[in-house]
Amino acid sequence: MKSKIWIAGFLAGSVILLFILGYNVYVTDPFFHYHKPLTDKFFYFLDNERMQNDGIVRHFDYDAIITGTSVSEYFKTSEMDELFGTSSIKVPYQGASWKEVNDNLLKAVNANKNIRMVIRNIDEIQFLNEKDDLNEEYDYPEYLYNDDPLDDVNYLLNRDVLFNRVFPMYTYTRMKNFTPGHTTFDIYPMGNWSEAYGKDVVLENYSFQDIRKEEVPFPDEDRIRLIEDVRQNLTDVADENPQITFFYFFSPYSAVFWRNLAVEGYISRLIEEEKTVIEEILKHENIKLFSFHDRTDITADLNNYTDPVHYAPWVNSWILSSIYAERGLLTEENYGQYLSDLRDFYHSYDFEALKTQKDYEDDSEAFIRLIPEIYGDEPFQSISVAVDSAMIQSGIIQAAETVKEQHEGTDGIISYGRLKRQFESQISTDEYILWTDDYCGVKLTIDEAAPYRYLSFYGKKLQDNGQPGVYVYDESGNVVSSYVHYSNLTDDQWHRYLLDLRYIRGKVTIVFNGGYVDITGSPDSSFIFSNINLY
Amino acid sequence: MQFNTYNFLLLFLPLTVVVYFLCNRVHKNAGKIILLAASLIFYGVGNLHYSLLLYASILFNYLISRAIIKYDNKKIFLASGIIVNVLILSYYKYLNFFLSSINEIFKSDIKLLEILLPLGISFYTFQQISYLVSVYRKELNDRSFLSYALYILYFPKILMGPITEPEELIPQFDDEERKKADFDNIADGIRIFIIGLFKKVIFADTFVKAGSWGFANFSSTSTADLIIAVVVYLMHIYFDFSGYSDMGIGISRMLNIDLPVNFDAPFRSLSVREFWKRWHITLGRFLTNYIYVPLGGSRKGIIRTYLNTLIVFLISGLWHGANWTFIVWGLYVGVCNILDRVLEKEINRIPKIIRWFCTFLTINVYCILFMSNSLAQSWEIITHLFQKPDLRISYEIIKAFDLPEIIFLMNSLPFQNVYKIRRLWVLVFTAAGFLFSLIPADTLYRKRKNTVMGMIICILIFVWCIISLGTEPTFVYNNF
Repeated sequence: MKSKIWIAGFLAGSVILLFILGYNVYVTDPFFHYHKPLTDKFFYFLDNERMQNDGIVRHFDYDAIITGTSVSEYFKTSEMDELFGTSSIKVPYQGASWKEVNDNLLKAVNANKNIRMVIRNIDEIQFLNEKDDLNEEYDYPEYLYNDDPLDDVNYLLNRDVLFNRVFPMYTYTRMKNFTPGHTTFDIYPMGNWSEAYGKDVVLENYSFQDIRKEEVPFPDEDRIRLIEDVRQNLTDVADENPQITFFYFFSPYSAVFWRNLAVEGYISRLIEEEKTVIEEILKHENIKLFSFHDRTDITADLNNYTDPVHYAPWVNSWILSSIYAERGLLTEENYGQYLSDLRDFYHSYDFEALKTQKDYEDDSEAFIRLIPEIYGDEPFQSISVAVDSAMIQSGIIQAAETVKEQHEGTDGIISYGRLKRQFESQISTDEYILWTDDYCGVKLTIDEAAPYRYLSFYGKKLQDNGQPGVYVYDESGNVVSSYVHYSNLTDDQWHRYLLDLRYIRGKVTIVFNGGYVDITGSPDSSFIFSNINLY
Repeated sequence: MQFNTYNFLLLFLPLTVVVYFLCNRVHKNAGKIILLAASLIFYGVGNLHYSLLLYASILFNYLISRAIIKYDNKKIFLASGIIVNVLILSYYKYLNFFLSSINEIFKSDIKLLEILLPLGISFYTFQQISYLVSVYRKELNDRSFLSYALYILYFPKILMGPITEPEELIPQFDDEERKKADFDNIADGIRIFIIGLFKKVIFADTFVKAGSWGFANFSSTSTADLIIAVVVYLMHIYFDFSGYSDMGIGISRMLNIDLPVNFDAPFRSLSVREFWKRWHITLGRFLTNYIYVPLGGSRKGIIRTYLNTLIVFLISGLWHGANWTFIVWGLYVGVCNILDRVLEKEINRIPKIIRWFCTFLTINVYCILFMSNSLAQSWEIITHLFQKPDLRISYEIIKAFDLPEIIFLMNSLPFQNVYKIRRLWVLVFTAAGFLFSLIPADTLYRKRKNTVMGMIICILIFVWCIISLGTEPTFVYNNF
């Protein structure tokens, strides 16, 4: 063959193949850079904030946004929609500065004129930033954020995108019970994984350093810098969009965070910084500002936290209900007293008591304590249905057997084995179970979930890697509630687990899977579910 | 700019090749100007500040070369030029090392300066010196500024070599026959370039993940982990460096320019001296021509030969980096070479397989010294290797070898347990890389017949490399 022809063939072949690959990325568009998700054909895994949030705000249909940082990741949009009558999305950014969150919010309001409500946390940790600061640890995918079509080559001809997302999206459509759609915003971005909460976890690597007596001042240049940051990244967007109501709240960090401030002599300074932010924000009519720092019954109870700043998902639920009920709303009239009380509280608080605080064996205890405020009544009343062996038998049992006389004399189901799911498969466990019907336990159907608020059960590991994975699917195949094991579940004791069903309606399928989540688990893994109740 | 970027592969390179040959039809120097402009863009993109340093250096050295030509005190000008070049390199590369060493020895507290190393300075400094010496020795006919600037800036080699002699490169820029497009050479150049790109993007960028993890976590790794990490890190350096050289050679072949071979299957070596004849060949050539030979080489008796050898490798160590590890590395390599020379007859009696193994082992020790942050760390790594053997391979090592396309393929096929296959993949990939590294240079660079199968393979590999440039970062923030 002549070299000219070879070269021409090489160039043409390369261009054609690259075009085909790029076109497939364009069509499926897993980062929604070009168009809405094709949720009638494919399933879109939502799991990478900085790659997907930009596309989500520009192309999804919604009228409300939950945004902020990692402490907003556990909000449930289904709760927000039920409370406020919205159709919301959630686009938080782990470790983000105010600017980064605000830049995304600006994109959203420019792309979507239907937005009427924004809920956003304000992190006190960001008070020291300059207004244009971004987290320097990250290599931001600017090609997804800008309008330059030329640099889209980083997206269209991207190996990870092609083989981790695009091609699997095609192959998943061929699975037995495949349901197109996308990860729900209740689940995005954290997945169903459950953390452990309580003093033992929060203080595991914490060192009680001496508290500094002198307080650090708040100089004027820092005050000016903070005001600039507030204006550019918190309030300007509200001024430019008077039709939107912005609900901002100070992230309710734990008492351990305040102890860290005390060590640095920073408590008064933070109060002063907060005062500056409050005064600036209160000038704006369409911003409602909340703070829950004074709810020390929650913030000083480490059973609500997994580390000094990150609170449990039920605290997110409580925050939503508080915003709805206007609990913790700061006004011109009350913010002075609020700040004064807060300062006095932490200047005299006995931080040493945190060391001996009770760590609930069942973390759902902390959830149950907040339920009256979240829901307005006692948690376990009115309708209650015990799931007995007859009800279990009416479901589909697989790799399991029913047993009598288990937890407190109630019936149970013992599951055996492991899922055939591959280790570190891209498909999440809940989607895998739905699409393949592979589980170790039982699948129950509830014709109407509306009367029920909670699913409660007790569980115990019997052998090896047995662990609880309970998934509630709606009729569309979306996971609407779930509980997956603690990361540190090592004992063989009974534990209580609670799933939230408050905002779920219609027919639901509940899968109790006690097998290990993938093929690397022991085939002898076993877990028992018992004392199952619907409240 | 780098070779392994979308901009370079899809825009810069094809445009440069086409425009170069078109301009050569217009005027005999037009092509050279285009190459110079392309080289300025290549070096300047994202690097403007240090471009100015390079331009100043080019101007300075050119003026020195004119002074050497014009005036009688040629040696003084030559010496001055060399000294200034070395001083500039020393400032950027060694000043902070020198200051921190002073602080360590004398327990002082001299503040270190914020100095960023200009890209390619180690390479272009040596080539500046080569040029001055060539001018001094009257080895060049064309001493125009255009040719000289192009010799230094020539983009296929400016960042990482090969280190070329001016008399082997500059005449090629002026050769009329080479200014016409030669489609056979373009086809060959494409093939060689793809080999280099494949080495860099598929092998080097994969091996570096496991190697980096192993070195960063050596205190908690198993013996097996650490052995894998050291070996694959060595292979990463080879594939990264030789891949770059291959790409430079391939680009030049497209332009009808021949660059010297820089790597010739160094892992085939049966002795450490043979290794240095196969690894970074042009550096060895430079050190031999400009340091070893002027010091007397092997002409001044055996002790002087050994001393000169030690000096050369010490300089080589320093050239590679500013740390005591590089100095010890240089001395260690020098001593190994001397011993290899002294015991040559005895060594040659040993079966080849044993000689190969011992050589490979020695090279891996070079790698440990080369990659460690400190002598203490090097020692810790070496002793960690000899602790109680633990042959478990960590999950992080296995994960480092996960190529998305291979995982997708594994998941698509009816494998029962993909995780077990992934462990096997580590072995397969490493073995494939090792075998590939054994292909001699003349096999890699030889002219080939144009076949359909060859074209299809090139298309597939080229496209595979292009898409491998893109990744999906994950953003892990531990604190918040």
